[in-house]
Amino acid sequence: MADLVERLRKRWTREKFERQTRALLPGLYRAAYRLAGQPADAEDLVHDTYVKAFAAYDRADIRGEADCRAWLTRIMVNTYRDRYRRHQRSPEVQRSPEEAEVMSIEGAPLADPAARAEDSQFARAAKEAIDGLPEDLRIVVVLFFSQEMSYREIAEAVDCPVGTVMSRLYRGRRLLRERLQDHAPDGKVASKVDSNTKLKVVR
Amino acid sequence: MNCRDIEENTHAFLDGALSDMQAEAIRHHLGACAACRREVELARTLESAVRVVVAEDKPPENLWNRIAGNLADGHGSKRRIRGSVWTGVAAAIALLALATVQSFLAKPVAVVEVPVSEMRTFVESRRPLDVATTDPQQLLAWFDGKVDFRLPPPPSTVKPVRLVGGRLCYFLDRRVASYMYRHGDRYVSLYIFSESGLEIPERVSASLAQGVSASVHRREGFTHVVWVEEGFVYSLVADLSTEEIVDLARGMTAQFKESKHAGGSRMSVQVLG
Repeated sequence: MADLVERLRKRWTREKFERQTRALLPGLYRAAYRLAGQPADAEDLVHDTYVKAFAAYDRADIRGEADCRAWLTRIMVNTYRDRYRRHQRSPEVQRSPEEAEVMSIEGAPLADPAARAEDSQFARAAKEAIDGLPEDLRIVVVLFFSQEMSYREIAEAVDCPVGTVMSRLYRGRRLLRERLQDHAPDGKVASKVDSNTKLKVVR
Repeated sequence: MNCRDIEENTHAFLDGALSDMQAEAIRHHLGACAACRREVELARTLESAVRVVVAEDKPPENLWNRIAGNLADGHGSKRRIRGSVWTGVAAAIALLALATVQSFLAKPVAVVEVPVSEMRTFVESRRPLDVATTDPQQLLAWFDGKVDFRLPPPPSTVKPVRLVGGRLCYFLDRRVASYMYRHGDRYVSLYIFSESGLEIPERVSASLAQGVSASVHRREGFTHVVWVEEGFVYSLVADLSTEEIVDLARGMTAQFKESKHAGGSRMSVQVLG
C-alpha cells in the first residue's frame, strides 16, 4: 500500500510539474540559446534546468506562472554560471556554422530579396550585439528580450535588487542601440537619425 | 522635463514602468521635441526588431520528450512521506484513484506516455515526414546508419493503414525509428526502439500472436499498444479504437513474422557499433 501511495504521489507531482512548466520551454530555450551560444549547449542547459527544477520542486514556493518562470530561470542562470561560462563564452562569441547558415536565410517571410537581405543583416547584427555585451549586462538583456520578463522577475532570477537590474538593463539597452542603430530594420528609421542625435553611452 | 530626462527615462517609458504623471510629462515633451521623438521611436523600433529576432530561436521538437523521459526515469522528487496527516491524505487520494482511474496503476509510465507525447507533438506541429515513401525497402535503406540497430522491414499495407514514410525520433535517451502510416487523413506511428534499460508495462491486455502479448493504453486522445519482441519495444500510436488498434498490431506482428520466416528480415538484437 505504501508503495502504491508513493507511486501515485510521484505521478501526481510529475504531472503537476509538467503542467506548470511545459509552456515555459520556448522562452527558456530562447534565453538558453543566447546565453550558451550553441543549439546543443542550449538544449543541454534547458534539459539540466528542468531536471534540477524537478528535483527541487517539492521545496519550491511557486504561486503563479510568473513565479514559476522566475524560479526556473534562476535555476537556469545559476546552472549556466556554474558550468558554461567558465570555459565557453567571451565577448567575441564564435557562432556555430549551423547558426551562421540559419542567420543567412532569416527574414524568409519577406518576399522582397533586398528587404530580406536587410532583415537578415539586422538579425545577425542584433545577435552579435547581444553576444558582445559584458556578461552581467548580457544576462539581464537576454532575459528581458527573450522571455519578456519584468524587472522584478529578472531580479529574482539573477538574485540581485530590482534597482541593479534596472541599471544593468539601461546600460545594456543603450549599448545595443549604439551598435544597432546603423542596422535598423527599417532603413527609413535609420536615415532619420542624424549625427546630432548620436547616443551617449553610459558605461 | 528636459531632453536629458527623456534620454534617461526612454526605456522605462517604453516598458510602461513610469507613473501616470511621469509618462504624461514625457508625452508632453515628445509632443514638442522632434529630436526626442525620433530617439524614442528609434528605441521602440530597434527593440521590437530585437524581440522578433530573438523569438526566431525555437526549441527542437524532441527537447520536451528528452526532458520528460528523464523526469520519468526518477531523477527528481525524492521527498519521503512523513507523518500521519500526509499518509492519510495520500491514502485517500490513492483509494479514490484506485476506484476511478485504473490506468493509474500501469507502471511504469515513461514507455507508455513519451511516445504518445511525441506523436501528439508531431501531429499538432503539422511537420512533414523525414522521409516520404511507400516502398518498405527504400524506407529501410533510409534508416540505414541512422539508428544503431537493425530494423525489420516495415509492412507496406496492414488494413486499414498504408505505409507513407518514416521519421527519426529521439526520446527516452535513445534513437527511435518511426514507421509512419496513414489511416484516411490521420497518421499512425509505429515506433521501434531498444528495450535496454527500460521498464515495460506489466499489465497485459491483449495477445498479438503466439508468445507475443501487449499492453493497451489510452492517452491524450490516442490509443497506444506496446509490445516487446527480441529485445525491441514496438509502440503503436494511433487515433483508433482499442479494438481497431489491437487488430492493427496483430496484423503488423503477423507480417513481421512472415517476412522473418521468408528470410527477408534483417531484424536482429545485435547492436551495431
